[in-house]
Amino acid sequence: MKKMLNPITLSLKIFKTTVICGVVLSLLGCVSATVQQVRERSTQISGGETLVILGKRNRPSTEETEIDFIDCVATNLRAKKSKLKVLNEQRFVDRTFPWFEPRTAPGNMDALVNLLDQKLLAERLEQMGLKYLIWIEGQTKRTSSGGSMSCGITPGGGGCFGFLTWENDASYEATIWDAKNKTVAGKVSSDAAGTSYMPALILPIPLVARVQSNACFGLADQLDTFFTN
Amino acid sequence: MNKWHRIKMLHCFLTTAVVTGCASTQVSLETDFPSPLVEKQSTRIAFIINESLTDFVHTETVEKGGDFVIEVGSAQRGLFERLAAGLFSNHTFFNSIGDQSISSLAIEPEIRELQFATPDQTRTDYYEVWMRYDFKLYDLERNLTSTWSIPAYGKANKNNHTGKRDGLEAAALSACRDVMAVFSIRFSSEQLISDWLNLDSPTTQDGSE
Repeated sequence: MKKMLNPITLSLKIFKTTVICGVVLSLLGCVSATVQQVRERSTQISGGETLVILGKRNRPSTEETEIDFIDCVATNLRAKKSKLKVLNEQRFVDRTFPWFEPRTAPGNMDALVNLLDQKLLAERLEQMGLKYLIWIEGQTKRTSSGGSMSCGITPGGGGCFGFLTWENDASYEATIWDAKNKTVAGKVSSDAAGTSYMPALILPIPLVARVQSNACFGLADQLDTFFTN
Repeated sequence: MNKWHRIKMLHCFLTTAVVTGCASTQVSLETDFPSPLVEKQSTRIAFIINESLTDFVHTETVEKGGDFVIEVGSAQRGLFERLAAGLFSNHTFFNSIGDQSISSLAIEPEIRELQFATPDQTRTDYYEVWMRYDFKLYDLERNLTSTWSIPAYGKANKNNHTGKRDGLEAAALSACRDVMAVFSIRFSSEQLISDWLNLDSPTTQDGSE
């Protein structure tokens, strides 16, 4: 005769199954990504030369690229086989202060050419071996959300019940400036969209679509290809 | 876990939530600033860093937002030391314009006002800080000749920071860097400054052209 499970054991089994399903679903992800590239000039980077990835934070624009996205692209680009030398963004901005602050940063190639008339700045960039400046603009935004969830807490315990869903859209564009030849080398864009879910049966289980990470990995891969091919 | 223990835990949780919700947001700038990469000025300059600058604190109560205390004064000495080191080859620091040993042109920074906004107030993603600095310019006899005003602005994306304290700290830091950037870039081209620097030229001291 089949053994009956007591309610606590049954609840635990349901909980375990839900968690395992959740992990599997989150690993599968629910993200669609697109990467595009426009090349205007051939690119070449030698051993001693470096590049820097900067978030576009010019005034009076109200948009700012997330700092962790810039870090993510730089870290992934450093980790590629081509071993590109990517400078740390904050260290670069500090070493070239005050020329890359939000109020003073060059907004286009002509402004950079004018900026390089500053002898001290030009010398500093030469010392740093800077060949390419990559400006990243864009953001990850929540485009829609739905569902409901209610949570309660009592002396006897607590829990949540419901279902939430939301959709995020990441759209980033990297503009590559050749600081030595004073030309625009090209553009790379990365877009990703995905839906996240959070079912709750006592405990809420977030199944998050990694939209921003996907956009970051896509952009880093394409930038690596841009410089090595 | 018995029932009494659970009630105590719930009480503790609710008390913490209420206390945290009502607590003031204390922002303090303790950071290092970069030196500006600009051509150094050869004119001898005395920087007056007085207590009203180094003790500057902005306090404000925001409706439904709690109390905010923003201490930017503590960072000012470091800020102007870095600025002066990058911009002037010959400079000294004094605590008061009343110091008899000042024998050069003197500049006294002052924070005239500070305003801030949180994402809750503006319904944007940004913490913002506005500051207005007044730079009082003194001649060789320590007489006030003019005042150079510089507005500074800094913002920080709430998605890059964990909470109000971090966000406002980043925005205030950005505003401080903004004033340094404007000061160091415009110093050599501002007419007011050129007129003031001319007070140190030998022809002016002699009274002859």
